Amino acid sequence: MDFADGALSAFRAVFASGLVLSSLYVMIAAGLALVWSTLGIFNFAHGAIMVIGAYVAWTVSIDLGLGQVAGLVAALAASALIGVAVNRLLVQPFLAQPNIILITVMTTLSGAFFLENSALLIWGPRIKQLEKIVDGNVFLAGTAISGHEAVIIVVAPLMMLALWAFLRFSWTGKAIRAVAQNREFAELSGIRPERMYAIAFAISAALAGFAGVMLGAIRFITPTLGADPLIKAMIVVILGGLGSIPGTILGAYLVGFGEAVSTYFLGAYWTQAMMFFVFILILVIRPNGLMGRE
Amino acid sequence: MSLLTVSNVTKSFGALRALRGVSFDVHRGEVLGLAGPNGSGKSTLFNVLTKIPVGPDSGRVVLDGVDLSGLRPHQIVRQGLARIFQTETDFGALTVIQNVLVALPRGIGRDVRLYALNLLEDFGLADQADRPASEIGVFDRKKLMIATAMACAPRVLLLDEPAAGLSKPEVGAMAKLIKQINRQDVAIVVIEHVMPLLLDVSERLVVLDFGEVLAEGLPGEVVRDPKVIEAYLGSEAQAHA
Amino acid sequence: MTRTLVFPALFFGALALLPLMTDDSYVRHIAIIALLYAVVVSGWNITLGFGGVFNFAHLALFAIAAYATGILTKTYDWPSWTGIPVGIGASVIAALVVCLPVLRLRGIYVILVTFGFGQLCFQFVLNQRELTGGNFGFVRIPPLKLFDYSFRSDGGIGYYYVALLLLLITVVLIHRFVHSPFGWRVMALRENEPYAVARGIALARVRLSTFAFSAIFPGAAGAVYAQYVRSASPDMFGFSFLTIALSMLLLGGVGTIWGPIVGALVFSVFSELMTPLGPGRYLVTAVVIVAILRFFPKGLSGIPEAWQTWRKRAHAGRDVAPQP
Repeated sequence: MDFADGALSAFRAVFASGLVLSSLYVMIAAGLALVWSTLGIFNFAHGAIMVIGAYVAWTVSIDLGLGQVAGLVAALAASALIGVAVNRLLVQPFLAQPNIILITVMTTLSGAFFLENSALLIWGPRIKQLEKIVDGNVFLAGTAISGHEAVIIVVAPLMMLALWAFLRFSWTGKAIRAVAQNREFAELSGIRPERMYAIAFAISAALAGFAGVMLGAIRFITPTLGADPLIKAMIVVILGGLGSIPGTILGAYLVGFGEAVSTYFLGAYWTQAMMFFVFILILVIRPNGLMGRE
Repeated sequence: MSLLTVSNVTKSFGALRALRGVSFDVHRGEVLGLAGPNGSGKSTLFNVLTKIPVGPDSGRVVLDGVDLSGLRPHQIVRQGLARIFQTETDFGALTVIQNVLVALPRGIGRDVRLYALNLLEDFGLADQADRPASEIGVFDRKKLMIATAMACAPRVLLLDEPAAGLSKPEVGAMAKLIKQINRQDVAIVVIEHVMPLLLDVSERLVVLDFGEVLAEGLPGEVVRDPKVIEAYLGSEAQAHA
Repeated sequence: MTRTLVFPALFFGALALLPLMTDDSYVRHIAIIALLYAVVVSGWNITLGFGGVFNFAHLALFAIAAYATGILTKTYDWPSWTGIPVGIGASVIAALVVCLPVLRLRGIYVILVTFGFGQLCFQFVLNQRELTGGNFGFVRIPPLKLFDYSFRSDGGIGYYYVALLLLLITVVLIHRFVHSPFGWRVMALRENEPYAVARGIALARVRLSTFAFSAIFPGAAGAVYAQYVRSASPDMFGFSFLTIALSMLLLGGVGTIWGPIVGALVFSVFSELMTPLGPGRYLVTAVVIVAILRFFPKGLSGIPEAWQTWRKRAHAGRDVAPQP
């Protein structure tokens, strides 16, 4: 194989895996960014919610044998419900406190701890895996990827488009943005902030649950499956400038492709270390993110 | 003789030009009043002079021959430029005397506690030395903030509305206190909306308007300056509109 | 002065006598771990409680100290007594490194960058398998030995007293810190940063010193831990470990000398009692953290104060005649 062929196959492999990673990160990070921009807090339980989504889908679709659609619906419902509960129990009671950001780090961290260990209690330590949505392989830029991964690649941008349209055009979406910008003013215009917070959290958690179902078919489901994606999603959100949807999308594709390129050339271990190094560097140099304004 | 020289200082926040080339001198041992309508840039000026939180965009500030532009905020204080904030500020969890002790520079001598007690005595706070600062009265907290500034051994002291929120007798006491500090060879720049106090203590007045020096001179002359009257009345007319 | 010494004397006296009351090796093991936790959490309290800076890399310092001790005393054959100095050195250096970005940041960014630092170290440990043992941890660390006395003998009682001595030193150092001009400056920065700077406090220098000082404790504890359990594992960088230490700190009450110590000991006992619950005890732990933050923000150390106000109110109710 000559050099050009080598470079081409490298490019193909990197392109396909980068696209899959990016699409997963977009789904996870969008929820995190939505809550950050609405409530100004980081939800450390986001990854754990994702895991619960995957487990619920497993129970419904495989254990009970009710099929994939039922599994997906149950996962979305369960994760949205948990999202609402996290908001109600771990965030709302502390909203009035001056150091809300720091307190909610501790409460949502506890929430993650609670959910992870609940998963361990309910589903046990044995690893599980979901069935792929579509069987067979698809060729992308000359590389074979599973049909399931192809679905992820296609669905992720569509979901972002739907989220963007929802926030932009629907009454509820506009109300959520209004509350995020100026709570008092929104209240005066008849919007109930608590409700908007709950809805934002539910959507965010449902996005996590969906990502969990997608991820659960290509990785093994364990109670701590959410930790690594959560950290990646945080990097994405920081990179994207904390909260804007376009910024988050850009951040996700940067992180995803960056990870794919680096994994190809440096190997998986160095890549993880590298990502945290870059993450710290960005925080120090541009704390408002690559897209954020000064 | 000029102790603090402010020349051509500018500061913008986005499109808002808060200070547009402010220049003035503070002479050794004087009390300089800084007046001007709300939003004219008085507090911003104090902020950029002390670099809390950030210094000016351009312009020079020289304290007794030392250019402050290369110094960090805490070094500016140690150079002899201390300020108080508009609202009573303290280290609430620390005792009154600890509030003073953290502000003292190194090398004061052996008995720092005695030194701090003497300082508190000047402000009538010695009997409350060991109480938590969060538990003392509003006027006392205001005095404590000035006492901690004095602990930094300043040569120029910047007072931002020292009389805000004080009762009439307290305003009188504050005026006395300012003069008393001034007698210790500390030049003072004071921002104040309580006009009788400002006219009572200041030897000269500088009036700011829209981030520029509008007038400068003896208090009696400055307050009769038509431009100054116009600025105050104008802003009031706007406020009422 | 004598009165203030009564409680510490009773506390340490009781702990010193504990091994005489029981020679159950399991109880001793739990006690040693609890004492080391108390040291680590007290150190965290310096940055978080007194300094008001959320250093989420604090537990990583403990892990770094454990690895440094293990690697130098096993792979490089340093004598085992160098463990504690090595642990402290490694921890302090790491704390200074993590403090540099912190100097430029505020709020949530401090948490993210310190947390990111811990993860970076974690990845490094996984990565450098030959040096650190990677995923499987670094095992068979030589035990502590002084003048031919191996601390493994006599059922590990030596480790118990080393840990207790560390805690005693911790209390003395933190007590001195709280009553020193350095300590007041640290607290002044927590209370109001712009005001503190406006009073000539050098933010960067004080904060670096705070991090370095707080790192001594996880450094020493990490070294002793590594020599006691004879291993260091990558789990020490994880969320669970962080959450447990955090709950100890919150349970005891941040910003007090005894709060984190009592919190660590109470939590350890509590946690042992809940062992039959399996992973269920972690659910209780999580609920406890949130309940403390919600209803008792001062933790256990808030109890005396609450008790006093309650008594005052009860007295006032008795003394003052009811209004008609």
